[in-house]
Amino acid sequence: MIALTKRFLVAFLTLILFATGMNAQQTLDGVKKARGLNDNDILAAVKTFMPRGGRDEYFGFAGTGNSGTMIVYGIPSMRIYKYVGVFSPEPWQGYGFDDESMLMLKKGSLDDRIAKYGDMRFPAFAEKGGKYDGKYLFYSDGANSRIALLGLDDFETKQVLAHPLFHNCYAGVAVDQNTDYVVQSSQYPAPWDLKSVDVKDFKSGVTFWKFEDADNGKEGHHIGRMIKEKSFTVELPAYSLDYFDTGREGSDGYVYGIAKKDGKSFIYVINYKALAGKADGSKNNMAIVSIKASAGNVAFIPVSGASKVKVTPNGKYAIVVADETVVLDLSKVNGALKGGNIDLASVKKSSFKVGSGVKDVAFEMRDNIAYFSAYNEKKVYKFDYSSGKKLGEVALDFKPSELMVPQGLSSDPHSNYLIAVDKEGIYKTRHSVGPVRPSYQHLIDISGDKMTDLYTMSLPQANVYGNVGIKRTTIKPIIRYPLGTNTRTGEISTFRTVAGQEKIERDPKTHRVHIFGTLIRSHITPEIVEVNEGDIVTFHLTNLERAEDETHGFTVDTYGKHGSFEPGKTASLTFVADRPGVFPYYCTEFCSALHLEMEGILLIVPKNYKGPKTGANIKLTKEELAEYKKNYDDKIKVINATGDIINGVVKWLKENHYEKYPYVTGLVEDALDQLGADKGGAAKKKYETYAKEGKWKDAFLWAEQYWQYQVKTADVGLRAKKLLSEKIGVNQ
Amino acid sequence: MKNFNLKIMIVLFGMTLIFASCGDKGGKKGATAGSGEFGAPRGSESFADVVKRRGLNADDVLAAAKTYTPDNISDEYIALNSGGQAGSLPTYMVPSMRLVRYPVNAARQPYNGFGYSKESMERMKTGFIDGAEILWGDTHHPGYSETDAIYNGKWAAINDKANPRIYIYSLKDWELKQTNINPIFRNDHGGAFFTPNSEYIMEACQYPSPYDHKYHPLSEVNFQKFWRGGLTYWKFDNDKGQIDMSKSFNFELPPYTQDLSDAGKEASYGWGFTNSFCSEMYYGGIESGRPPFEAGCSSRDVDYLHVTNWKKAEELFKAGKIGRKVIRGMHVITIEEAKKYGLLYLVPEPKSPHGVDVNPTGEYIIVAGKLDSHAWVYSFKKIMAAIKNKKFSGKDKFGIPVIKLEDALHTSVEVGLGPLHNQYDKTPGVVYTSIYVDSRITKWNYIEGKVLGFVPSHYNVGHLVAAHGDSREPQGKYLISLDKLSIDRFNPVGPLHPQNHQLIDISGDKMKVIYDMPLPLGEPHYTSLINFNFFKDIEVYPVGTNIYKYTGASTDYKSPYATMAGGEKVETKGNTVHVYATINNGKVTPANIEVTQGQNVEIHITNLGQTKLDHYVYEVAHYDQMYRWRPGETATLAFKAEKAGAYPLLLDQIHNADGRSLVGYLTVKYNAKADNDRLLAYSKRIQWDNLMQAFKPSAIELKNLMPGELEFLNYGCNACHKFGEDFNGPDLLMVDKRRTAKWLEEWILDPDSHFKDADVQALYKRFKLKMPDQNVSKEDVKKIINYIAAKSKKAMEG
Repeated sequence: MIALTKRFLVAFLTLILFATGMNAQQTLDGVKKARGLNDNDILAAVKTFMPRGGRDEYFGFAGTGNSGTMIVYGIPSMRIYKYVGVFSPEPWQGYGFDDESMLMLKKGSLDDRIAKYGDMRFPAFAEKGGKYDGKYLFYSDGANSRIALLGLDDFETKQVLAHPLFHNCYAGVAVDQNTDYVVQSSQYPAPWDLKSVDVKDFKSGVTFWKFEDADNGKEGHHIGRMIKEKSFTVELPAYSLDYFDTGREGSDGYVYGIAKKDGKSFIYVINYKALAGKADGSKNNMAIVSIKASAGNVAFIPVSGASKVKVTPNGKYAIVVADETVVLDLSKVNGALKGGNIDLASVKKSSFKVGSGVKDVAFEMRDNIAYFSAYNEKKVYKFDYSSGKKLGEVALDFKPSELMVPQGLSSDPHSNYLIAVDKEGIYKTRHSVGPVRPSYQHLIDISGDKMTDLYTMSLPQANVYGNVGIKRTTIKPIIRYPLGTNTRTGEISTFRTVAGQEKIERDPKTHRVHIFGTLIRSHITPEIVEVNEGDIVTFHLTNLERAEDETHGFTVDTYGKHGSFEPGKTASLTFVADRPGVFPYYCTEFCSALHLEMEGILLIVPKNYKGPKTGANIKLTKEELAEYKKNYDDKIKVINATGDIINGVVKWLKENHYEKYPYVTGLVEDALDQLGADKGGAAKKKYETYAKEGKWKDAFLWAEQYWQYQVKTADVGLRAKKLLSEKIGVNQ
Repeated sequence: MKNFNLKIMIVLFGMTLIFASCGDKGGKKGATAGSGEFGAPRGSESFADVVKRRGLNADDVLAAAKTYTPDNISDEYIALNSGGQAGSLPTYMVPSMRLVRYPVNAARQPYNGFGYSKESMERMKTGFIDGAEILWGDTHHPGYSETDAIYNGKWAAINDKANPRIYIYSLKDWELKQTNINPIFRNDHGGAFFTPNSEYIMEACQYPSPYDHKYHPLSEVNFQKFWRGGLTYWKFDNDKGQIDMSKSFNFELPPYTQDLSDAGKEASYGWGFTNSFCSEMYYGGIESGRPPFEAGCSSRDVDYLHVTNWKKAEELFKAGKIGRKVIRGMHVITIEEAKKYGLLYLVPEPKSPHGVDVNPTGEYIIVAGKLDSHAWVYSFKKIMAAIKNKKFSGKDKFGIPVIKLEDALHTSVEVGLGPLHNQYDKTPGVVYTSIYVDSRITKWNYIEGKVLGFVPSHYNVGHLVAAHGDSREPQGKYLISLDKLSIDRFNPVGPLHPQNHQLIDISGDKMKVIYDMPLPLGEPHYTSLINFNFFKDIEVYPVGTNIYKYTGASTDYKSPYATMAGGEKVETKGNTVHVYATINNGKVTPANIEVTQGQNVEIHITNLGQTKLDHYVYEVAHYDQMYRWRPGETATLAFKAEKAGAYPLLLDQIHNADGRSLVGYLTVKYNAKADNDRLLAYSKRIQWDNLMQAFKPSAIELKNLMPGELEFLNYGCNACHKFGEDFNGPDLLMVDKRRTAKWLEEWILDPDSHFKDADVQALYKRFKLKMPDQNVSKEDVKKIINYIAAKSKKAMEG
């Protein structure tokens, strides 16, 4: 209650500020005037601004084209939360640099190397019962013909498979309503062997990657994978294939896509569930259903100028964006499949003209409503696709192309926001630096009767096409791994190392050196490693931290490897120690006040080296010893004082019931863990023993180490106190 | 507008209710729909409706108005961040806090095309150290070039901590123009900082190591004898934007683990300041019972601020009096020389410091020590007086004079636990210090030694930046807090969290946090904030430009492969097919390319486009060949036509909605020998993979593997063998029936055992590949043979 009153007072005081106006920057009117904002701007600002650690309603995931990297952002704040390496290397996360990710990429490669980039345009979420289940995200690589799966437990890439047949895939992917299959198609036809250049051998096809998820239903640990051995490809005539979508509910088991040849366009339909197990051939370990074997389950519908086809949320219709927008009745389409090619008129529910240069369509919660982007007209239209009646439009200052409504490709689209991509990005004001510009997309408010453009978002390092959006709470991310996790497999790594078990294994015969090490604020164990020139060296490191956001990084200078170690993760860095000398290694992620001191030295002994490997230590003089004793005594005083501070903070936290607030509790546990990191009081015991023995230098240094643990405890403890103060409304 | 304020009042009164229901604001804010089902249309909302629905208070509304930047309003500043481990530099606009670009440095970046064309690879290769392919960097401190201690808007530079390199960028196009390797360091940290007229770029070593790059056994004696820190003054050409190593010099420094630096200006022009954090010269060894680095490196109460006189050093160096010792190509000013000519002094500083920052007038230097609660303000005048009067407290172990703290200190101020870095305000005497442990920014007056205020940061702020805050004329207005932890500030995205950059309005007396920005890629350490009016960038290049050579200052940027419309051609020189092509208005000439397997292919493309929409991605599908052509750029895709077949050639206009289109095909005619080479390369790769750990599939993948299949994959058998068809090696279907288990076992364990057999020789003739020894263990060979039998059986039945 006291807290409440205080808050009220603060609010009241602010009010007074408003009324009297301290200076231009303190009142809304003043800011508006100074920055040239109008009332609509302010309304858009308050609709998108995210205050004080607030949460966005939705996650958006962008198809980033040739960047090969996933982007996740928040809606409506349109802030980018993360980039994740998928088809291209990403050193921040060690992706393509540590052994685990390299092995994952290599095992999915059918070549003598890992492809260095991909082209990913239209991602898809895993679904359950037609709804996004928030567990996985899939991307197709349109450049180097691969398919990727990301786990949304830790936002890491879990699987990348090379396509055994296609030279070139359409850069989009779709899943069916229970994620039984992940669908990928070829784009431009090409021969399926690595030999022929004959046009007669050019083929096209659609692949159905079998997906299996764990049946244990464990929260937060997503280990589902695509299974190549159970997947199959349906061969199609050598058409260029474009955007496709899967059916749902009544149309489940069918895929509808765009095919083009000689300037004509078609909608292809495949009843793929009927074709599972009907493969009559195989190539490169991929089962193939030939054109002959698929007869009666594949058909083409001519539709002039088709550029998009999307199945409505209820699965009853498919909207074809074309010269004239066409609504296909899917029960009729599917019924006509047996008879071979289908006449459009027989399956068309309706058709209507939307606008000029229509690029995309998106659905929302309300029945029969669809949004269309009219690129040439700089407009987004809202239509009732059942009646073909225009319900509204918004004029924009850019040419909209791809559209996305959060949840829009599931059976329950939402109705507040529409994302429209702006490929050109021509703005009169400053929006970039230098010739290379970002991609842009706009947030449009579709909640009211009138659509309004709210926000212009820039996405650097992305050639943005499609997006998908999902309700924030559907995704249940983890914040730490079980200790020793290989994050690419989700299993406990064979190289997991716990505190006190660090070791170096050497096999002189094979010149193989395995270093089993650990990372914790603020030291790397081991700190000094000596190997021989030519050794194949692997650092297998485990981050022992349990605290949220306590990531460590690791690299050996000039050896080209980097790993990111989130709490609990085990990863490995392998390199050949082919250059002798002295190479410092260090933690690359700022982790504590003593982060810079989180270092070590790798010494590489040259071949045929005969000299001494260890040298004499410097002997202390009497004066130096006395100095160390004094230092030790001083340090003990500091330790006692710091102990008092910690006790004070702990007392305050307990009195204010920190345990009621999960985030604060996490911090308090971490704080106490820091002192716990002094394994069984090892440092304390050491300095006490050395002091008894009169070894003042060692006593002092270990006392110093104990104090470092205290500092880390105090650091986190104070952070906990600060957070708790905010939660309970006490000004510190 | 009056009624807006009125509405705010109403809202604020109503807000006590919101507060009451918002115990844990982390979880709920902004997520609750105004009415009805989540995701249902909200209808048209008024300002008051929105403020209520989203739980905004008056400060939030003000903050929203201060940062929201609609399309008709320009941002004011651009923030160039180090990207940390990301190998690129996150760049965003202020105050909208929108990311706009990631200039590249050491890592491949497909969106920019960096590392994918021959030209960009050549730029990358200049950064390879001792021949080692290094494809990433750990950048830390960007700096802008200066004239008269004010940003001149021409160049930016940044250091790479993991691989001691300095990168130079042109602010005309924000592209990488030079990569300089420091030949004597193994690592650096305290760079890249320009001197006031960009005469030099300072780069200080971090972890010491022997300059000769040779092995020296580690011991306390050797550490002091061979290990060295250092401070390099790189000579910089402010017109050409290039570093010249022959005119650069390096101060040999004791192995004190030097840290950040700053160049003196105005009053202190000609001097440089560098701090250090392990003047104990300690090295750890926790695995062998030695206390770890963190204990030994922070055991003394003070470390040393290094004061260097670069102006005098330059004169002496030019006169040939010092720096004649050359180590691995670098001129080194030895400690002896520095002592002799009075070029180097030490001053005690608070322990384990980070920032050392010279104030706008150059009269004061502020050092923040992370393990202290004070910021120490040094007076340059006092330091000079002590030097002039030779008033030293003594010398360090290397004989370098140490100035007494009292003789250098102006004042010290208790600013909070763990002060880290300082940035100056527009108001004289006012400075902002980031406080790491206390998670806050302290505003204080360094002349009067008085604290003026605090603002909390979320959480654990590292560096901070104020507009032009390290120049002679700071602009105030905005401050950004570079928070190292974001914990609960954003939507959760897994164990690896974004950093949090908080924009702080410092235009009023009270600092106000007005925006929390997640930094989604990399871990920026340091930021430089430059006003948009201080530089002029370009939108297009002259046709035929190799952009990695283009600086706008010289004319040697034209690519030898530049091709004009009508000049397109194909030439075969030796084993290389050169294609000179153009992109003209979305059309590529020539469209199709024909080669023979095994030939090298170089596709030189000139983008004739000259508008800001003319950005193209051209790629060879399935060949991992792609680049992004900027308007006017000439670049080359260089690769070996290793695979036979027909491969789509594709063009994507980035700023056009039509997506990518088919240009034509690369047809590669089959050649048996070249195909063999490809297979050998594949096999070689598998052998290298086996030196890493064995591939371990996830549980679900494992469930779908047959017994022994994992071993079959892990030893790379699949690189050459299939079931039911010949591949790089013979078909394995039913091989268990054609050979005995004993024969197979001998063959796999020792491929030489039966190599001379007539039937094996016949196979060798056909496949031209020798079965390699994959070092299969005895235990695994049985599993593999059993798998071959089971797989054959299944294939026959299926």
